[in-house]
Amino acid sequence: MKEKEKKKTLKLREYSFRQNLHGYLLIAPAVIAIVMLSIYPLLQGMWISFLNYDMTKANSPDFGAFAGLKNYFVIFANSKYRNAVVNSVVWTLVNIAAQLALAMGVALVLNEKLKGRAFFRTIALLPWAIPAAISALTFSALYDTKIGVFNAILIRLGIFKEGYSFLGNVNTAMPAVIFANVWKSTPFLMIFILAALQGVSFDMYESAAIDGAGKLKRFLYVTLPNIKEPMAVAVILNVISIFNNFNAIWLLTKGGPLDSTEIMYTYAYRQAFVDHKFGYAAATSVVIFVVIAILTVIYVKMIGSDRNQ
Amino acid sequence: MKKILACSMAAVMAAAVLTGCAGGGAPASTQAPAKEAPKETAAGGSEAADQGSGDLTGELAVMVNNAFTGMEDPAILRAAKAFEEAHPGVSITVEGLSGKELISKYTTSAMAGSGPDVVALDNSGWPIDLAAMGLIIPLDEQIAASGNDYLQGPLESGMYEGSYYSVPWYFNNTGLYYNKRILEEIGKSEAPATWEELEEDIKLATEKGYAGISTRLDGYAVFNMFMAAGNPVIDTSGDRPVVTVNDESGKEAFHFWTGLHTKYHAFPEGMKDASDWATAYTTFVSDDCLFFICGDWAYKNIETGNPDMEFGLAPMPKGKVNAVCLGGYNLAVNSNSASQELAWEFVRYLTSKECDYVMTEQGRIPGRTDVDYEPIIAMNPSYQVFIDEAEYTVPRPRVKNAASVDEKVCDAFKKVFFDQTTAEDALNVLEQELNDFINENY
Repeated sequence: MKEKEKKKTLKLREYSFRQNLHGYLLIAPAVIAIVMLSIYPLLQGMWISFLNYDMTKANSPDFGAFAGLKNYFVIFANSKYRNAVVNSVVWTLVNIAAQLALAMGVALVLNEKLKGRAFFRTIALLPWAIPAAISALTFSALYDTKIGVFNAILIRLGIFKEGYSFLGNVNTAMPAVIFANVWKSTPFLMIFILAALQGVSFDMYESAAIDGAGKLKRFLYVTLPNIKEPMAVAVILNVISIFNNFNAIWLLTKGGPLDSTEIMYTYAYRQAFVDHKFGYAAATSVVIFVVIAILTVIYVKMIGSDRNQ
Repeated sequence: MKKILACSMAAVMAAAVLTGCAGGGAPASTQAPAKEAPKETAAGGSEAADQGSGDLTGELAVMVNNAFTGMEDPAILRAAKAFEEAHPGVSITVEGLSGKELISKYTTSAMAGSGPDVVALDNSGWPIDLAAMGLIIPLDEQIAASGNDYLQGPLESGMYEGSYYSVPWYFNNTGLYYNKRILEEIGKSEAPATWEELEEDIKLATEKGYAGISTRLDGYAVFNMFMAAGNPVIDTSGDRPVVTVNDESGKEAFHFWTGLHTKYHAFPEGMKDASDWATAYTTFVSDDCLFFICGDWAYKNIETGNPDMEFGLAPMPKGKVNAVCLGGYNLAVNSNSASQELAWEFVRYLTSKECDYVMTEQGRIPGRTDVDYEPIIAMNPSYQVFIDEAEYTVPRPRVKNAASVDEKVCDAFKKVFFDQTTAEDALNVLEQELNDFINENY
């Protein structure tokens, strides 16, 4: 009996495969491209993280030999790496908190019936459309001690006596790069929240108002519950993007001064392309991969539960 | 199914993390145009292009810094064209990239078994790294047979384990730019020639509310401090590199330069974030800083940055010895090249007297002893400073991963500049870090 059922299932699978053959053929190029360009390098990168892979010792007999978890032990023992982990957490959390607050505020304003709303919405999106290199150059000029607008304003207001190097001082470099990234990345989050806000029925606000709810209560008990799921998805996506954002830091400070803006990604880049220690770089990247993978699983689960609801 | 989807998504998204380190940017690719061949020079004629194997054939890819390709009618393309005419079976493609793009693109492509046949390399340590990685070939025999008399300092910047892996293309070194108005204001008519005079001038300038001296905080500028005290930072003359940075001469140099901050607050605030030369210029062209340390390329930028500012150029002040840090580019041949003989012939040609115009048209100084400096002096008489410094220019420590040494030395200086520690403690930590670095890499 079991044998019969097994054969039936196999036949059904065969039938299903033949029936969908054209579909499989159509997605094959994309699947092959992803496997070749993403999955293979991913696996290769993971494998290198377990090897002795110091490129400047390419002639050594140890080069390419299996090293177990040595690369991981070395990077975790390195105080610069631990500093980069702490900076990555600070960079990600402060960025997402500031972006979320700002995006929510702007989205709420742009959801109102304003005159010229379409124009303001376009303006609000502009920073996101500007290339990272241009944005970095702009902020580099804005922060400049001699010609920067920020210094000019602060000196004019009497707060500073002379120009201050925001990117060059250890205490202000991280806030300065975070500020630049918040300006550039907030529109992405804002557009998600704005889309969610537009899905909230006006009737609900009207009923709440009739029941005596003020603006704050309507926001807390009507708006937030209705947008929290799409907002959570957008936050996870943004956290992944912030954690992974190499350009925002490298183009402005290169991880300096004195490692004060060094995050895990810039640390990995330095290990690979300054010190040529690809084993350490790969180990660092695998740790980043694990963090991103966890966030991605959360994201996919959220999408799934959203659909079920 | 959801789990599979989640895992697949995670894998694909994170793949970018593991593969995203390679440098990018669209290079300016140029093919030699059909223009006039270069004018024949009195000494070389077109001999160099004709010399060597007359039956050379094949395609050659050349990767250089875009300072030589980013203008109208680049001289390097005219040189390539002349070489092609002398060897009808040869076709040359010249690609120009920014320095950062160049090294990351060359490294990744050569590691993958390809890359251009000829590459221009910053002599700050790139040839050593690539030689250690086996990505460029030794050129001892070719250099000996070339007849080109290369300058020893620039030539040694490509020496790894007793062999030369690159030849000098052009070199530069640092000079002392000075603001004429401020110098006059402090009652001086000439730029300082010694450290003592430099300190005195800086003291007088800061007393009048000016910044004393500025530069970019990178190895090119900071190594000068140690070199002028006769300290190589890391001695690479023996079998194994030895850290010398905390020797008496190193201490003297470090205390002198960091003392300019602790005693006079000589460095402008803007120098703290001068992570590139463009930012560094602003600290000098703002007309309130007495001195600026930089190479030959700064001259034009300072002129255009503030056309109203009067400035001069002097040799670096002498410390214990006359020594300045070497900069510039070398040429090397890719170990993956299928046409290594042809590649070397082009390198030999490009570094010969016949091709000096490729450099001199831009005010660059070719890395040989028999250069006719007249065109450079005609273009800018101040460049005599750099030509005179040629005889005592010193390459940075010839160690693997030299960029890491640059960072460590600069960070030690920054710690004192940022008032985080004393010069003595910063130097002790630097010595320990450099010793750890040597132990890890050798």
